[in-house]
Amino acid sequence: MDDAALVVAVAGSSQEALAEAYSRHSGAVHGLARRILRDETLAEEITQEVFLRLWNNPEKFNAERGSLRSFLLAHTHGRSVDFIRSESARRTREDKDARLAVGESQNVEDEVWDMALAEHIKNALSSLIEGERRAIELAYFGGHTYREVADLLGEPEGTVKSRIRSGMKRLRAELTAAGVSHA
Amino acid sequence: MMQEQPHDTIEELLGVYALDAVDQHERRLVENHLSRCSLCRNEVDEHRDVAALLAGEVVEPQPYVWDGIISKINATEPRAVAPVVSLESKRKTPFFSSTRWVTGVAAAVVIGLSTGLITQSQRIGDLTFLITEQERQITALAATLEADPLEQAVAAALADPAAQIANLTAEGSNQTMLIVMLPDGTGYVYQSNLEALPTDATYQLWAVVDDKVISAGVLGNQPVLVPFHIDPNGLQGFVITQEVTGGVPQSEADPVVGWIKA
Repeated sequence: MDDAALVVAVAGSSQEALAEAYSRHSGAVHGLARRILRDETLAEEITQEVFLRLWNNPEKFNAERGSLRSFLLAHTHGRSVDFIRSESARRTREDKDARLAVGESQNVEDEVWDMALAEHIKNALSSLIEGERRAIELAYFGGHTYREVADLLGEPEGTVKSRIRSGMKRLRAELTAAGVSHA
Repeated sequence: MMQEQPHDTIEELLGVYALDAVDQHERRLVENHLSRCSLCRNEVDEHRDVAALLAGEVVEPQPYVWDGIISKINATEPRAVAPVVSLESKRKTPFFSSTRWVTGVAAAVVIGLSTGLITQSQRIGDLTFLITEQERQITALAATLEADPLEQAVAAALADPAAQIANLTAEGSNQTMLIVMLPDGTGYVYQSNLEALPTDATYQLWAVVDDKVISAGVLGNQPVLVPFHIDPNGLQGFVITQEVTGGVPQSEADPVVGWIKA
């Protein structure tokens, strides 16, 4: 059964279908939440929340707009970032500097979820200019807004905004050319 | 009304929006635009696909994480889609009788036609079956709105004691739309059973303010959750019309549904 059919079954209150969706994607969901939050307990909470949302609102998944994994990971990312932002209000400037250091240690190439994909990802990332790559890493894995990224990198906001968009487009073009269509 | 932004301005935000790297205001601007721009929706989907590939290592969660999910599912009642309130038996006065509402709506306000306005204090003090039904809807909705920032904003608005709910209806039709309004003029279309329109058409929201009819937003061809902003002072009502994609500065169309403040 493909993912789209699984979600239809979930909408029909099939716990078996939800279990199968969980079996296929919970590792990626949990991995991403853990990576952003750097906290096992919080990552577990986010993982539960993501699959409970799939159970409660299966109609929000639209197979025509992307894969189930992409859908679940987008939600995982959004919720994880929400948590970081709620915490960030209490952060000190020193803490912000520490997060920049964390960002610097985040290396996309080393943690791709599928080793068979690693080479393609590595090649795609190598096509980015350094500014694009750093901006994407700080935004996606660091949970920063582009304004925060601009502040951290000492770049104009517009430049960071453009680099993230151009970098994501370039990554897609490279991955598509390599035959990797979606997650 | 939410300030309409040019396509190019929104386009520049699509990459950072897809990575959740925008603030709440920008997020609302982009989502408002995405509700009617398939080109930008496609780009966001593509960025998210790429982000999913970058997401990183697979880390299987502990077994108790799944156990917790099943426990929570089994602890709740069988889910039900929040029903759209049928107001067939609850309407007091026909809402629209004129085919050209633009000139007639102000007069209708003056003579005080029916209202769907509900304040939180009324909910507490006057539990009519209509209010009870809507509270049930709100509770059900709030319980399920747990993830998306727009959904969270709607849930927060519904929970706000100062919020008002407008129930847009039409005579001889079971089509309805619910809007929650905050005192600062921020509003959300949060529930609708309006029929889906072709892709070259859209629903448009109009606010009646100080006897003037002002566009409050283009809602897309199948509105679900749509934010908007209006000047809350002098608000007299809302009207929904069906227009061509992109909306119109002034409408000649018949109202689909509407609401007039008591």
